Amino acid sequence: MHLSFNRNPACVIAEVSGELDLSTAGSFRDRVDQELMRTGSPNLVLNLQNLEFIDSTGLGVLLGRHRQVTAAGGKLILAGPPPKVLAMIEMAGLSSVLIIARSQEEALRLLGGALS
Amino acid sequence: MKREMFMRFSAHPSNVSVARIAVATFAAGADFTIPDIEEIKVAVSEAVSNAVLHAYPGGEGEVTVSVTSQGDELVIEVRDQGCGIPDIEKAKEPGFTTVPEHMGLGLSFIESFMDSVSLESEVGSGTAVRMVKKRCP
Repeated sequence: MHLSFNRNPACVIAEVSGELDLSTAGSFRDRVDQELMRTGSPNLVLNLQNLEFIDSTGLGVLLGRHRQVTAAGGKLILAGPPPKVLAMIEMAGLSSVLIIARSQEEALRLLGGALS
Repeated sequence: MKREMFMRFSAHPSNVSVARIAVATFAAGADFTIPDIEEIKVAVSEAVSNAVLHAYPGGEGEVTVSVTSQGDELVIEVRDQGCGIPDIEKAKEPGFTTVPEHMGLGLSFIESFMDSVSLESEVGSGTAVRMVKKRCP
């Protein structure tokens, strides 16, 4: 799993690639939470475009970030999940809970609309 | 022709991906399709994650994975010698979990992606998950 961060005036953008499972979920959670705390940004865009694998542990950590961000008054948007990742999100019943955009650009547009 | 593979490893999170990739490679060699292999990877990940997370609370232990390909069937068995599951029916309920930020969907995903699943467990002796995937003709 590789994770990198970009800062946008409206949010933290986290790009995650590789595999999100039991071996990587803890590191992913800790680093995202630290970045949100460090920047003080309430909003988070998770760019999943290059995520190759996710299981229920990975989905759990996504839901956990959603709960944490929304509890702090922000929004979490998942951007560009590949079809197999999107299928897992839908199987878990999370597509009605999480905001999903087709791309990072669409996610930022959605966030801009929510902030305006 | 019958083909077999056996792995034994410590119940550590880093071994989840090792098991998943090894079984996926084995399944590819048995001519399973890419979509089938993706489903097998999720099922193995869920079964091994459950063993790593739950079998040895506060201690160390081992997980074994055996894989057999014969005819159009791939049989995968994930086994531990840990604490066992006191209430299997409760553990099978979608959404049941004892771990924070986990969804309790592991067994549901396994049942969705594999053609048949059986779960045996004995408190104090361990747990075995047997999963069968049939290759499309």
